[in-house]
Amino acid sequence: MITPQPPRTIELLLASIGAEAEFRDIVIGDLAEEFADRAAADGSPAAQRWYYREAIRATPHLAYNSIRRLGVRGLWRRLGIAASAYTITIVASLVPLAMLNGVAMSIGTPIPWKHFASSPSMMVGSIAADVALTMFGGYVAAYLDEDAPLVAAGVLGMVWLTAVFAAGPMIRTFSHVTPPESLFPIWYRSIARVLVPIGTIAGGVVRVSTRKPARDGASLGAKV
Amino acid sequence: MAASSLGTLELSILLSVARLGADAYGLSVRRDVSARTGHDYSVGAVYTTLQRLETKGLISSRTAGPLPVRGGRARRQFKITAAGQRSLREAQRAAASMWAGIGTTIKPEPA
Repeated sequence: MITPQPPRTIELLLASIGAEAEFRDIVIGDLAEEFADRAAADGSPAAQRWYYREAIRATPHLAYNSIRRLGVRGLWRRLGIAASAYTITIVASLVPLAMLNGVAMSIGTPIPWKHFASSPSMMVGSIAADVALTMFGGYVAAYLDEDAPLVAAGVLGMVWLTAVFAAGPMIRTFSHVTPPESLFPIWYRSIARVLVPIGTIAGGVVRVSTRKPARDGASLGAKV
Repeated sequence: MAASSLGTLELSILLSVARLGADAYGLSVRRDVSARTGHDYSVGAVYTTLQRLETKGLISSRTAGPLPVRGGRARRQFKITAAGQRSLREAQRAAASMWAGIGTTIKPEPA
């Protein structure tokens, strides 16, 4: 008979919050043990539903532990990772954009950037592009920080959001021109800002759920 | 350690560790406390409290061997310390003192 296993992706996500190894393994171990008991008593679907609920309830405690152990050095490290991921993402997005612009100019039909702010379909497309971009950034940050990928993705979200909020006033102060973003309606700007941390964390989740398990099993405890 | 510095969950968990003895580990403590209080505490809440009690010196812990049912992870077993026992006695005294004389003033629960 095959013993039912707790949802692997959720286990990986819980292990990626960055809590100290001992606390993380004890919490995930307890969840796995109770999952096995519940699967035997109530069946696998009920045990899975319980597991999802408990995983959500355990997350703030793992996150609290992760923040407590971070320290000044750890915070600087994560900020460095976030800055690197942000730079990589911006460069990676500017290259195809510049190429697209170059091609459009060469065929004599420049991209109507100014009309973006008045076209709802363009704005929806732009939001989709923003989501893809922030997810890519979150993926990169999680890739760069194997120890706490979701924390790195979350810190990137905060750094990115700070950059977005700071960009407008800085452009106004130093170049005395209207920031391009202020041409867009408030609903667009609000959605774009809310989606920044959601997108980076979603990118981190994608990275965590698709990466190969660590060879030494460190992230999920050594298998017996 | 003054008993007054123990929160409700801390006191419940400390009592549970004392009651369970050698069987006190996260999952058994959580089940015991949840069954007795009727409140379904999360695994994280129980471990955060256990860590706090250990920091206060009221319990000690050791890691047991890894188990296949836990995906190869170890259990952490807890034991009440002498300071923890003193703290429980103080809490009991304080509660008894607070309850003194109450029996005659509150109405019995309707059957």
